[in-house]
Amino acid sequence: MNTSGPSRTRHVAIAAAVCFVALAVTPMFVSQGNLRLMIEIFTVFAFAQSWNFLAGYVGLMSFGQQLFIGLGAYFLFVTSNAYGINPFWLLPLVFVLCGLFAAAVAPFVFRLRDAYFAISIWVIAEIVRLYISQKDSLGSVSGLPLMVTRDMDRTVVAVSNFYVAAGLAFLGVFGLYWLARRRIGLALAAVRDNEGTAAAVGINVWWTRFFGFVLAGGFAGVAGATYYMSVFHVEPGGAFDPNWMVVMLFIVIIGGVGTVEGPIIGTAIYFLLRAWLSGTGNLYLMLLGAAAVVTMLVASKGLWGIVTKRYGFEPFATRRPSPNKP
Amino acid sequence: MIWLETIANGILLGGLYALIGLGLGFAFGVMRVVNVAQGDFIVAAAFIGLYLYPWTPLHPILVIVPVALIAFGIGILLQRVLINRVLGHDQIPQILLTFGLAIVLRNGMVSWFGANSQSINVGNMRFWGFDFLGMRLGVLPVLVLVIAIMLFAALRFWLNTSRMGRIIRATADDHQVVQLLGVNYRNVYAIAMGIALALSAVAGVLLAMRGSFTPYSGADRLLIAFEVVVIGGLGSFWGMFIGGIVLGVTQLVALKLDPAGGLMYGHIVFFIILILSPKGLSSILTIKAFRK
Amino acid sequence: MSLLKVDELDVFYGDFHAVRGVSLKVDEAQTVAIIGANGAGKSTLLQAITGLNMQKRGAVTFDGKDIGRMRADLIARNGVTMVPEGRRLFGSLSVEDNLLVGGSSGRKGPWTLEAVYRLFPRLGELRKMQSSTLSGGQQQMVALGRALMTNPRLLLCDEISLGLAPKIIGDIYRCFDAIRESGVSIVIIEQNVAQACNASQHVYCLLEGRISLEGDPRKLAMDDITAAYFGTEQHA
Repeated sequence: MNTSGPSRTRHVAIAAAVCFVALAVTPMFVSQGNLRLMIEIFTVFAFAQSWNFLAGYVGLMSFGQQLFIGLGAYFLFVTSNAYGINPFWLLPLVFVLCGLFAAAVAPFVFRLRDAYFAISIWVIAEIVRLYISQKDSLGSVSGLPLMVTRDMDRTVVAVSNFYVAAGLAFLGVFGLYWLARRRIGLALAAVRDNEGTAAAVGINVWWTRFFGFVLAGGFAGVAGATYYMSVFHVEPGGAFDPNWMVVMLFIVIIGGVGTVEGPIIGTAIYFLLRAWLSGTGNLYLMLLGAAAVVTMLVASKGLWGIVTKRYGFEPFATRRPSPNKP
Repeated sequence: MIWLETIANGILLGGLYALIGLGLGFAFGVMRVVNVAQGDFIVAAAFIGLYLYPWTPLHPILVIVPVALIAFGIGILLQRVLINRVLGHDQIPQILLTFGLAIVLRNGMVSWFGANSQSINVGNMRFWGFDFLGMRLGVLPVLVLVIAIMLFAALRFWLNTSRMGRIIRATADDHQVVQLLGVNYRNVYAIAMGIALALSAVAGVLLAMRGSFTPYSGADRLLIAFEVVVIGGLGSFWGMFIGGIVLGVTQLVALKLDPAGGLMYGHIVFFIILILSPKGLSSILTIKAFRK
Repeated sequence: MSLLKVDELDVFYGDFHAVRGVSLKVDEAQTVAIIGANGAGKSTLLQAITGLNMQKRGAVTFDGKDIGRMRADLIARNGVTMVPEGRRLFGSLSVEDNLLVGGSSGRKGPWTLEAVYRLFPRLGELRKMQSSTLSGGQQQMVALGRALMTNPRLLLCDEISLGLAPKIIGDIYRCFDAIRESGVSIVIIEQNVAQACNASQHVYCLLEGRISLEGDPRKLAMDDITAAYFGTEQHA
């Protein structure tokens, strides 16, 4: 720990302000094509951060986070198309609906642990995907277009979309930092590290997990809605694609699970790799998988873990120094 | 009558599903390891079977023997080279490691073999059938069920009576104490993973004979295996068999009612069972007084 | 020459420095007792000797061989085994299967199924029973028999009298003579000081991870032992 608490908080606050301003002015200087790429980068980062929050902060590993990406997108498309509402105003509703969905399945999936929990969410994602694929009113396999934004000014849509995506990425960094340092963040860490001890100090383990699961679901849902809003079309095979899981895992594992910074590095590496290896198809996916295997074998804390270990540099340290053990 | 035949066929398919789950459940029971790559190993075994069966003497169905042996060796290597290195109290590293492995395997198979649908040809046997209680049943599905039951029984018998089986059961109970008795639990784990993959490989080849597969089938296979194990009550031996049959019957009945449903109804039945009982079907079937 | 020699051993239990600079030795066919209060580091010390705990510094020599960095199963194959605290039987296995797992170490010697059943005739009658259904005393016999089946040269017993009735404790300790006569050295961990002193030829007292007293139990004054045990200077 090289900086004391209050001054670190101030540094983070300054960083947040700088990022906020930088993001706010970006659309003035960036072409629409690059704006679209940035929307994708920010939303994919938000996906990864929702999984990182779940696995690294709540201690729940899921293989079905694509469930919420797809659900968020479909909730948004269906309500916007049905009532002709500007989709941007629907994002809070998407958060609530995805959170409610998570809350509804949590009591059942929480009965399973570890990998069985992880796969049970994947099963739910498959149920929803197969259901939508058969339902003609939901566009079946060919999916749904987003009608309302068609008649709107393209630049306005792109810029609004950018601001939403940037806001999600901002929350993914500074919101997570803020949350992890609140009381609930400490409760989450306690539950993640040792259920028994957490229960012994009076933390309600079940409700703490429940909160984390619902929050991660809602956040991923909004990110999913934002992503598909920017491409104006959603179909079940893409929205509920388990490959979303591959991308999230890669970003978080390579970067470092349970850290705020790790997934930033992970996202950068992911998009660089994708740019270099575009056109190689499966080779590129194989590489993502192999990278995850190697990381688990040699540095299970990811690249960011190596950085903090070597340089003791942890600007967003969310872990408080632990009191000396007896 | 047509429904009775559907249910009978569901039971035949369910036996095979149970066998898919057996490998996963056995590995979990012994090591508390969940091999997320199991589904893709099942598909890989089917590809090995596809390339070996033309050279198999006597009958193509016997290709399960060399494939099982190869899978056994791969399982030992997998455990020794990779999984044993990340064992520990924390399950996340091994789960993520096998997930990464699954991605590598799946996409490796796509680039090697292409994404086309394949099937292992067992010749005329595919069309043989016989009448039983007024139902028309296929010879191959019945044979597959018999193989599945035999493997379940053989594994149970071997675990109960052999020296290695005893050591495996002891290691499953307490992998630390066996070390005090001179047993290297990592070797035991390697053998257990070999057995788990060999069982899964047999299931994969038999599935490829009954139907078709693509390099992407691994995800569905894993989900089936996982559902079989959870319905069966996490590691309960014959519970898994019941779990497989529940899924098999559900799938074929649903296919009759809604041909486009695919695996959806199987997933839904699994979820309903999860809602009704946290410990799976075996705890619904067990009378409370008999439980400890 | 001593069978087991521990030199300046430090052991960690997680972050906790549980054993600090402990040296001790065990001779052939000797019974050594290690006493100490809860949390004095006794169990951690045995875990380090058997190789179950690898967070350690210092030398452990068994029969002239350095076993300090050796894997637990290889240490067992060299002839060091332990009856763990709480017995830790293989609960889903029968009594006989528990014993046979002990016999799979590959070491030859006097201890066979028949020899164990001769030592504990009751186990012969219970051999088909599932071990988790046995009483505490019977389970302790299975645990002891299971360890003997490895034909050890050094047997470590961690709190074997914990939670057992005095009569059963007496029965178990009476068997120690027969075990020692077969050429096995024994280390016992006990919280019951009188029991430990009666059964052993040499006693070490651990206090907060260090040896606070050692010697022949017949020559040590009870007051000194109490002081070393509780870490108090004044006599109780």
